[in-house]
Amino acid sequence: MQNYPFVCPIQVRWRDLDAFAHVNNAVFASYLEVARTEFWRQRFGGRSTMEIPFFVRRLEIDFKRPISLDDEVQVWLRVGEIRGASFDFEYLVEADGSTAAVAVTTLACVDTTSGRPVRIAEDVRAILATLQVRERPG
Amino acid sequence: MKGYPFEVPIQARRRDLDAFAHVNNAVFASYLEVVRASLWREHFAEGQELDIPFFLARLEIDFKRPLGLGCPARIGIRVGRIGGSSFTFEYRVEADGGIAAEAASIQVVVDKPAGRPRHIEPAERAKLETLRGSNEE
Repeated sequence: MQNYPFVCPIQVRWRDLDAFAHVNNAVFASYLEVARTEFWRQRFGGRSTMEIPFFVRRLEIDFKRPISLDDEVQVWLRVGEIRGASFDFEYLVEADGSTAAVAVTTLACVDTTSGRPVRIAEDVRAILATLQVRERPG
Repeated sequence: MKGYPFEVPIQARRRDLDAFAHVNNAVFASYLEVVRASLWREHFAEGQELDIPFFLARLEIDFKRPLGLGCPARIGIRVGRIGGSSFTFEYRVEADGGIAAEAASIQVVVDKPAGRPRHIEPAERAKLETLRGSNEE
């Protein structure tokens, strides 16, 4: 997918479906989490997410079409704005070749002992920047 | 909850927590759904729980502070904007006397067999109007 440098395939589970036989809305948020966790695992190697604690501050999902059990699903990921202590992940959820949802999450870097926001470390910032897309049509 | 005409206590489960021992972000969306469904059951469904003539078009959640198992949450819900074929729900998640999250969702009202957006009927609009909240604290 153009403009999204990272992709993560998703295995849709029976349990993800609700009584309408569609993937439930809340499960979309988990799919986003699977994608960003996979990105983290691949790009940060040995450093676990517990060592680099980011918390979700804001979540926005625009639902475009439902996802069914047999759809082939992948979540496309890029980094949006990187600020002092927070940054945005931008997502496109693709199901069987069409857009099922677009989403944004704002993640804040937090000191786990004080609970206060802290500046994103330079090495983390540099890796995040590799997933930024400069030119965005529209 | 002040400003919200309807509220539901949330029964948090151990399974809702993630590795930070906080309720996982995606689970908040399920909590909102519990409240939305309760409101709908009470005010609209007339016994037919699955006959919900809208789909969810957008969801936004601002997380203010984490939820744990120790302090039970309550969620208030109210109707915000009412448009031609869509309307907004606004939510407040409260726990331990503070706000854990604020959220909004946009619902598009659809024609049941076709699944196409349709106009909100006057009776439905009047009903939604009764569930508007206020901004008083």
